[in-house]
Amino acid sequence: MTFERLASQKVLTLPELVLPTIKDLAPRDLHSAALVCHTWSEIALDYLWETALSLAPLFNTLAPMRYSKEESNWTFVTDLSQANWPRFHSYARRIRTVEIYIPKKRWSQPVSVDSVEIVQVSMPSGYHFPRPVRLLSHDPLALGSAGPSLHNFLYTVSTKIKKLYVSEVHHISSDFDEAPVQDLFRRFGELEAPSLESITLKNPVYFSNSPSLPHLIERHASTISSLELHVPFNEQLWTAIRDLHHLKEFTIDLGFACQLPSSPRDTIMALDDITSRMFPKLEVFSVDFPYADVDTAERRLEVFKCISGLTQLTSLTMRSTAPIMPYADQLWHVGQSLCQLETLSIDGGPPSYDKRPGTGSSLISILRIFPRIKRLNTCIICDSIPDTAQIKAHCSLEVLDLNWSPVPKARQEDVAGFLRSILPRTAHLVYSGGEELLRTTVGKAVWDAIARLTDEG
Amino acid sequence: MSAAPQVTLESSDGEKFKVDKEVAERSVLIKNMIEDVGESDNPIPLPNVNASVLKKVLEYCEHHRGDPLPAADADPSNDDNRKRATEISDWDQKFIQVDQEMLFEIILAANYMDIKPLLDVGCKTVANMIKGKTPEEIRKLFNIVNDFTPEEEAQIKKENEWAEDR
Repeated sequence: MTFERLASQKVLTLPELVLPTIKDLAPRDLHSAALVCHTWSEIALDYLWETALSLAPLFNTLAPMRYSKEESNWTFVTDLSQANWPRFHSYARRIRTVEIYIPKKRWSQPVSVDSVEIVQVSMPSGYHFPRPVRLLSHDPLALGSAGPSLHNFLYTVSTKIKKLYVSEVHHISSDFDEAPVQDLFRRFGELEAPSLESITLKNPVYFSNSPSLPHLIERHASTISSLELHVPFNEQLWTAIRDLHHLKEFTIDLGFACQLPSSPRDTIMALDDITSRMFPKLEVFSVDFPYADVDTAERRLEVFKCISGLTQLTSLTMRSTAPIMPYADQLWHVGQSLCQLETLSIDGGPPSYDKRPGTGSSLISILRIFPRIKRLNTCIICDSIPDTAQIKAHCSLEVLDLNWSPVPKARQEDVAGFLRSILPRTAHLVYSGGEELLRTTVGKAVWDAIARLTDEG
Repeated sequence: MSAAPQVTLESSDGEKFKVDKEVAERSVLIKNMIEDVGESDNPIPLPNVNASVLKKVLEYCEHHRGDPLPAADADPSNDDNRKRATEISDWDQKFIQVDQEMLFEIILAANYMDIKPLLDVGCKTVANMIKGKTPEEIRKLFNIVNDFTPEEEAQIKKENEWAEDR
């Protein structure tokens, strides 16, 4: 022991172990970590600067800045010092993500347009603005209130962004000002070279009839491989997505997509267009249906027929306000065609209205129809135990996620016994969703107990 | 007792541990070794892990034998993934209440044996010890030498003071 280094000293000087230790620390703790020693500093600063909320901290490395409350922005107090450019660069290169939300703290307030220009004009050759690869916004009001901050930021840093993610978590009133969002799209639509690979837009109220979103998609058609849209589609948007020849992952809410009065569509015809003409080679497909489309046997069969055209799929997610799981046995066609499918999610969310989810029998049907899937996410009701024929040998399931499933009325031991009889020994039962609601906290505890019983048997 | 297949592991100080294969295979290193060599009665040597640490690591593997394997990579833009990253379960928290040197021995062993969930628990525990401390307190706690000049330290402090307000 005498000449060996202590374990603590080994761990805390190996970058690969310092990294997982400090990566989730809050900004002020990362700041402390950055001052411990050189090894820690490099790693802590990477995380501290990974996400930028404003250009102010970066510009402050060039010359002191002052914050004006009246103007809600930062300006330089002195001339820039040429000597500070290497410092600027050492931080600029670490910025990977721009995150926009309503600035609450001083240091996330924007810098003035003048200051951006000063930096642009005086930048020596060989230096550059940050080149983030992700632009995120989780707040519906943020893009509107970000105003000048968004412009200052984007007009200088948007050229390398690969991932655009705009989602809303709250309800937005219909008179919400969508001009800033359209501005953002216009900016991306005007970029010289296509760069966006992944676009996620979850704002059903926006994007009514503006051409900015279709233009954006046309501009980046050669690079986009992942697209998630929960927005109403106009004709231009339908036309624009046809040119996405490299699309591998597609998420669409057909309820929103087909609803515009100026561009109404039958959702099954739209689905058929997507699966047979536009993207027959999709690998990951996630689709939300309006209630009416899976509520009658004929419509359901049409839907399932369309999906079975996607023979390259590795992951399929289907959601509807009318549950699909009770009709699992009708998915036979889909199972025959999708030989590569590994992940399947059906009704993976809270059960809706008074409609009942699938049962133990639907679960058996799914495992028979899709013997090769490794992960299944669904919601079932287990009030009585169906007769089971042994299907274990034909099924390769690894994870069964029964999130949101209601508390079963059958005895826990019986449910566990049933699951054991149909699942391979290596499969695990989990209950991942809905913990935040009181109702499902009970559900989670019960299903966790069932999972333990299933494993123990 | 059940007839579950077993393997023998040998610590750096020569102690042998017979455990269920399923338990040992929580370690990706051991899982790969068994796959490469095939099952045999020969003990699997772990020259970087001593008996007291291995005993502790196996206690963890035994408790978590049924857990699903961690997802390959989680989307960082998903808030849930970030939140989950700072939580430690009750059992794990009790398990990891050991003296500081043992904690770091466990981290080194989890890293060497490639047991990611255990490495996570160890790293999060160290992270919790860092929270709220000044750089000097962190250095003192872990015996880290300050290799900054006073000028370097002052500069980094100035350039990152914004983080105190974020």
